[in-house]
Amino acid sequence: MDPNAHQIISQVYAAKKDSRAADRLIEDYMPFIKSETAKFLKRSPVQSDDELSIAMFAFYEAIRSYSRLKGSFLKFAALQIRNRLIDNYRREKRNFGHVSLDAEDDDNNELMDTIMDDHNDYEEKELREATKQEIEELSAQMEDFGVSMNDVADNSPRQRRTLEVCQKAISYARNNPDILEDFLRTKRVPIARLAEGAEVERKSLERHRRYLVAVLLICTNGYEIMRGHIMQVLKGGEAT
Amino acid sequence: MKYMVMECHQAYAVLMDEDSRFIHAANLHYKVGQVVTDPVIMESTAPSSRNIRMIVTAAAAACLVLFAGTGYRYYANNFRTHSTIVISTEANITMELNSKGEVLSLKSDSESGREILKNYSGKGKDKTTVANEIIEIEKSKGLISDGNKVEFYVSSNDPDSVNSLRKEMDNIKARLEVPAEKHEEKAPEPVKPSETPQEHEAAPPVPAAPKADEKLAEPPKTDPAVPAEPPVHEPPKAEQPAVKDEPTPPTPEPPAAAENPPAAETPQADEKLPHEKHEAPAHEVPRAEPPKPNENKIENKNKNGNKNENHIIHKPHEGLTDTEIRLPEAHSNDVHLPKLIVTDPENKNSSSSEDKFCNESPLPDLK
Repeated sequence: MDPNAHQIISQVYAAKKDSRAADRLIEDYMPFIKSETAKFLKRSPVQSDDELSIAMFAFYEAIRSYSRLKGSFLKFAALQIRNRLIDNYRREKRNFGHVSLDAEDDDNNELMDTIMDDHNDYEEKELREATKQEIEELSAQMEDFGVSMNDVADNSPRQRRTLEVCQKAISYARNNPDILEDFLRTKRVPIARLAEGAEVERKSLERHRRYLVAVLLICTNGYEIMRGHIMQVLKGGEAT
Repeated sequence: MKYMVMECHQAYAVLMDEDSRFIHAANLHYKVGQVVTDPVIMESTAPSSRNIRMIVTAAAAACLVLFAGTGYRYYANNFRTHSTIVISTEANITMELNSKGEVLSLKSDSESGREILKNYSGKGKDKTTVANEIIEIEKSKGLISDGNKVEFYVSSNDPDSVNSLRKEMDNIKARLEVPAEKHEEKAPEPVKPSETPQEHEAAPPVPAAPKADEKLAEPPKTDPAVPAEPPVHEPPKAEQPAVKDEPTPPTPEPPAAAENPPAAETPQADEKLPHEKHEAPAHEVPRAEPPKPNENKIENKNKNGNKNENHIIHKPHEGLTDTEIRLPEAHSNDVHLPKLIVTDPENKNSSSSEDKFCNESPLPDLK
């Protein structure tokens, strides 16, 4: 076997566990990703192309889902990139008959400029900055708990039933501030109390402990913007 | 649904949806804090519900195929007609058998056969049992009587099963002719005092019934075209006591061949059995032994209805190995087995010379 193949595989397996190693691997293989994108686009991609972003994302997916049984990593990644680009092309094909807001007329004016916009760009920018600050605060606090956003994304419930179990526990914690205080003080999720109080399976909560850390933190401090985003869940209503 | 961008990497972003789920998605030039719609979400590395459905469907299909195959095999072995045996009498009853040889159904196209089947159902029983029972019923109803011939027609798509069925029919014959075997046991005794030098005969110790010697004197009445049927005639009644009751030599009518040993040693053409005349040369009959060559007819019927006749000649004095089998057609699935003579075990006196004739000649081996 090619010794480089061993090196790539070891890098891939390291990237599965470490998001920074994944970023490094993606950076190292950007020429390969661009090459595969160019094969699909029949042109060299530029940085602003959504296809290139999707190709990079497909490469990241390939890193996460690769195993030695699937053969050469680069061939596997090339296949993943091509499939993703085809999927994206089919999805975007629905909009082919529509005029883009970015399209320019004869006077070089964009269509978006001619449409009345109710949005206040300034307020929007302010809101985004505030949200960004909240998220940065949350990320910093999550680090104290030893949890990253990637971990939370990996640990997030996917099944509807599991999500509802977690939401029950979160609602119970919101209605019992002492539980949240204990959580912040001990930096441990009170799984037993949550399970007992919310009358849910303890095992289900343990499986999603890191996810509960993130959502309970959002419930504790002044993360109003994020709480507003997930208000339906925090109200205890059924998720849609 | 709206997604809040929580973290951005070069290749992907972490989004939080309104259900508070955190997901990976393609970073389509997102910025942290931005609320986006319609992102490109990462496919789960865990087996999706679609994959699970496919796996479950494939497993169910495999199970279905397995069960269907097993069920079909069970059906084919137990409920599908594998072979057919026709008991050719007046009732003309047809037995349909499965591959195990068990009777699936009994049919008859004759009125008397339907009458029998009204009160008799041999379903699930072994073919030999059913055949014996049917013959007993026919005897009790008077459809067949002593001396009548019962023919078995075996039909199957499998040539091997035809041979095995034929062997099974041998058992039927053995069961039907239990009294006839007694004749065979007693038959050699009358020969002893005939002072014929039979000890030096090289032939196997086939019982030399003196009655058969009488047949030698009889003119050949058979048509060469129908050699399987032995001549039907009533044997002299004086013979019967000699076979059945008297262990001593038959005095009433000593066999001509026994009285004349030289004639037995040097067979003459006149001494040949009528069945043999068209098949075996004169020198093949060395002595005037009672059970003279028996010619049975095996009739092969093709599915097209063509009949091929196989003439089988038994020469008891030379043993079964000398059986000549002429098969016009190499293989056929339908076999007409040799005719059997039904005898009444209670009425031994009624057994004719034909009975003995048939009893002494074993069924030919089909090749």
